[in-house]
Amino acid sequence: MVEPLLSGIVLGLIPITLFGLLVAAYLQYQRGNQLGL
Amino acid sequence: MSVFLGYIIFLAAFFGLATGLFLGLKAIKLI
Repeated sequence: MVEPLLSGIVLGLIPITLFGLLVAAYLQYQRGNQLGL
Repeated sequence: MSVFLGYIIFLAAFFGLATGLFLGLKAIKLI
């Protein structure tokens, strides 16, 4: 019962989410929170 | 094959939203 389309969406979402979290954390680590979030 | 199609759908949605938000917020001078 594997849905291939769903698998593609989920597998694409996971790495780009981790990458975004990493970038946001790194920007705050470098220069403090300038994101205003 | 369908997995890649799902990945293409994800890419279109992601970059579509990103571009739309960027241009829209820029147009109303929010960024």
